[in-house]
Amino acid sequence: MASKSKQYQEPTATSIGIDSGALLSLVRHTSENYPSLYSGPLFGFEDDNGSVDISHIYPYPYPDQYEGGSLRSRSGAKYQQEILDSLKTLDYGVEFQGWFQSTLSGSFITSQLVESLAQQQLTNKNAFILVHNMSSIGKELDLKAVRLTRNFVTTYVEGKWKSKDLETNRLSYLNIFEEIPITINNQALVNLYLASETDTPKSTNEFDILNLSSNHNLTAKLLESLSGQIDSYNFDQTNFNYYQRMYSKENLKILQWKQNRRLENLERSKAGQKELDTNEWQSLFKLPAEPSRYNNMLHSSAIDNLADDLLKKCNEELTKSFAIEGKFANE
Amino acid sequence: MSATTSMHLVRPGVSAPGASSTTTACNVKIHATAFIRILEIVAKQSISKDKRIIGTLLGYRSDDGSGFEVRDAFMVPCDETGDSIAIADHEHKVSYQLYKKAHPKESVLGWFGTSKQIDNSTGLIHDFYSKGSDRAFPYPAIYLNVNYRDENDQVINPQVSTYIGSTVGKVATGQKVGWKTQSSVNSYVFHPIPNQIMSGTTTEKLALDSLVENHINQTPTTFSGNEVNDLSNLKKQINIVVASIDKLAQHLDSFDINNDNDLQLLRTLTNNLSSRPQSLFNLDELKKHFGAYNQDVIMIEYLTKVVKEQIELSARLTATAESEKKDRE
Repeated sequence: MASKSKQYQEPTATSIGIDSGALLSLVRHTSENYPSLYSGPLFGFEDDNGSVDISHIYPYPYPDQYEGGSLRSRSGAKYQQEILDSLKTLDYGVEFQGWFQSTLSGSFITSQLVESLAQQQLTNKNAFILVHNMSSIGKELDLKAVRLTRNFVTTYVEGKWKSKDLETNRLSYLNIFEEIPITINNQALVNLYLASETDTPKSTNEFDILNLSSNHNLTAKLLESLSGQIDSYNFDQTNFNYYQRMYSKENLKILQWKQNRRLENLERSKAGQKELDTNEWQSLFKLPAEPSRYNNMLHSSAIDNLADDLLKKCNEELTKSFAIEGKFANE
Repeated sequence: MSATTSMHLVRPGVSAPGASSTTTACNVKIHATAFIRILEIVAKQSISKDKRIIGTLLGYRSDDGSGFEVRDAFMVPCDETGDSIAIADHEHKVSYQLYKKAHPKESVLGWFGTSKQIDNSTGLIHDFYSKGSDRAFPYPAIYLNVNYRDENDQVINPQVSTYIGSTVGKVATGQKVGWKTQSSVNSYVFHPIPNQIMSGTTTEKLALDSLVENHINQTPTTFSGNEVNDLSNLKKQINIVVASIDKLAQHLDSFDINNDNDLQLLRTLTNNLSSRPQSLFNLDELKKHFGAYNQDVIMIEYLTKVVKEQIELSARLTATAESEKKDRE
């Protein structure tokens, strides 16, 4: 299929439904294997009420080196197809709908993941990715379904990442993704079971969020990822800065040339000679082309996500710390 | 749902019938996730109430073969006609091998079904799972039954029972009689074994808790905690702790010196109090540490905010600079 024929289509799915069993097995697999990252295909079907229902989730056999690394790999695609075939023989009428990806905060925004998702969205307008953020592992569950926005996919199809294109498509690093609400589909039998489970004893592990994590390494991990992202951002920014310097240098030359030409023309007209072309500079000088803003956007978005998670962590820590300190004051 | 007491019988093994196998008691742990998977499979497949639904149980087995941890399950189609039953051998094999790729340490533990009583077919299915490759062999297979219908065929809260099956009687050898191979089905005796439903990782438990809670309150489930100022989870947890402290204090008010449990509780509390670190008594020192810690956190917060603003500033400045260039050209 020619890439030209691929056009952004407005997705019709307004929510994602997940079977509770599929959800739990996903959460178990990703959290058990933390800090290894995992991804895998989601199988389900689209219903008539604008929801994509996911009933089966399988992890790829091997952990990911980085986020999005396995999504379009050959072995992953083969595994995915084998599972789909096997599900079909079991009479499950399911189709491939998207992927899940476990990640640490904003690190999931890699060009591989975005590329895979964009391609998938061009094939199936309702494709999405389920991101399990592990930055609060053991404390709280952070799972969201995201897909690329119209603004992003349109720019992606055009394939140029100049500032001008970003502006015409109203795309910034803040609106690369849009979130889709998740609902849980419970079978009646599961509901019966859940209703009987209200009095289960709680283990102290579940209150881990209440521990003052002064020597916890999670914040450190977030900070590490953040500084890594900032490094990549700066690397990209250096290229851009170089372009801007070159641009202003060339621009200055052009201005000087124009100035000279004008003076020359002035003298020539005085002497009654024919004026020279003032637009000749276009063939003499060449303004540098603006480098792609693609990586810059992805890094910015990742940094923004990481920063948000960090701020949230800090807020929690301060709340806990002040609560304990308040107790001292009372004593 | 889990039995607190159970009788343990020494039973013969599968591979060497007649000789007693392990002497330790068996114990099955069922992950809540696996249980919900089973219920989902059952709920989706039960078209007619007479149809038998079976599937394979997957998970870990302890080294001595007495502990089982059921972690997942998948459906296996089967066709029951009268006394015979046809199990989709190939589908079982394919599903298992695909699962095995992503979970290399797990193996087939046995199977699950939904019948009300153990009948002839139970033995036939158990025989399928007890021998051959890609099944429980050479370990004994377990059988998990989910009963969700009462005598009047009304749907009830699902009840789990687990059994371990072992061969009795003469071993069927599959001798040839003329051209026909006599079917080699062993006879089995099923011993009930205790089971308990448990959760794997903490995150999984948290997910399950929120599923339960959302079901009780009929609220839509959300798992996104990405909002910077959303501390609802923290708040919820604190409230739970406060509630249980209140409960404890209330209980201590009506303390009964003659009650053994109460004495035990008191002992635990005193032990906890006396084992607190010495540094907790030095208030000034503590305050200093807290002050330093708070400052660290605030510093991180401040720097993070600066980074965030910088990124936004850079994006805006670039956009403005580039659009000005376009104007000039």
